[in-house]
Amino acid sequence: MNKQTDQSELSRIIAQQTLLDERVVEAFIGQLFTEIEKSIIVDSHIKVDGLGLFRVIKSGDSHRILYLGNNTPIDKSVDLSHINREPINVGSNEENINKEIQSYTLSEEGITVNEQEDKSLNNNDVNPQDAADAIVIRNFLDSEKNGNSRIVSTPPTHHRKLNLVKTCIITLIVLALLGIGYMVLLGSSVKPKEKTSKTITFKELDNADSINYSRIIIPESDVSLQYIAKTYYGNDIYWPYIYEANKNIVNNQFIIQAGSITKVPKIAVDLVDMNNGNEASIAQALGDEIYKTTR
Amino acid sequence: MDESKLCDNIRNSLKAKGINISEKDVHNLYIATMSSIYSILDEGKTVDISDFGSFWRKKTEPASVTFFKPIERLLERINTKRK
Repeated sequence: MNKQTDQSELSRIIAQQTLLDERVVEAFIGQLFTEIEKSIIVDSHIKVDGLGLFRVIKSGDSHRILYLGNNTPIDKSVDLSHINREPINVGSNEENINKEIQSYTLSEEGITVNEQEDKSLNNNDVNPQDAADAIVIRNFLDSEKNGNSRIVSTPPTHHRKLNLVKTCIITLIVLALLGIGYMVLLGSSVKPKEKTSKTITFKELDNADSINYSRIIIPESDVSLQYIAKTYYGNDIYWPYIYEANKNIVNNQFIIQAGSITKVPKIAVDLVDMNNGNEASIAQALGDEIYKTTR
Repeated sequence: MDESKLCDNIRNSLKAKGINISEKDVHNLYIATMSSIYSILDEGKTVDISDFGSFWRKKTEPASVTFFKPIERLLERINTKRK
């Protein structure tokens, strides 16, 4: 279908244009494609101005070459001004070139000419893998055109690290604020330890009147009647009984001074029953009466 | 690869082989090679590069399509050296 143009014929054409020896041109072409091959192997890709992009891709267990042809002519012309000979117009063959055509297409190794032509003529038959490859190549070309490498187009590592550090700092600040808030709330809700939690010890004396008193005690520090009632009756509501037995040593604050001999009256066993609401209310009434009379 | 870098590499390699050509000539050869390949392909012909592969173009509307088929030995070299 197509007429073949081999490298020798190509060399002849180029030699005419450049006024150089055909053997030199032949060597140049050979070296040109050797360099292209080197780049394909080492860098996996090479973009040759005026020819297109070659890219190595992995296909199964082997590699193949993906080629994206450049369908626009090179926008430079041969300059023979340094040669003292009649220059030859290089651009004569370019006159019929449709400069509006600017498209990139895909070719893959191992597909026959007819198969590829059919593919190019019928877009519906385009292999999805090839289409995906073409998109990758186009993105690559776009990034090169914009002067950006693919590495540059992705977020740089140091930016990600910076974002991570920022996130950590913000998290620490939030945690610190939460901690401070918690401590403030805790501090406001927790009251200082009351004196009630302070253990007051009593020294017990021999009880000569065991009929009326269960114990004779001497507090080692000032103590309230409620505390004594709580200690010996199990409930501070029965403090009036302590009061009645120790009127002479109780001050107007219902405190018994340290070192005072204090009598703990014997009361009925059912009276110290916490569930005995009747006795508790009696004690309560008695307490109220004591308050009224002493104040 | 940048065109000037490619031309430098070619010039140095040719120099190592005993072929001394000026920077200007290498540049001219590069331009002439690309424009010639383009013109030949545009005429519907196939360009065969020895020990490398073949280029051809299918002219369609609205866009033309350029193809490349590497020779088997090129693929063998690539697969051997990249493993």
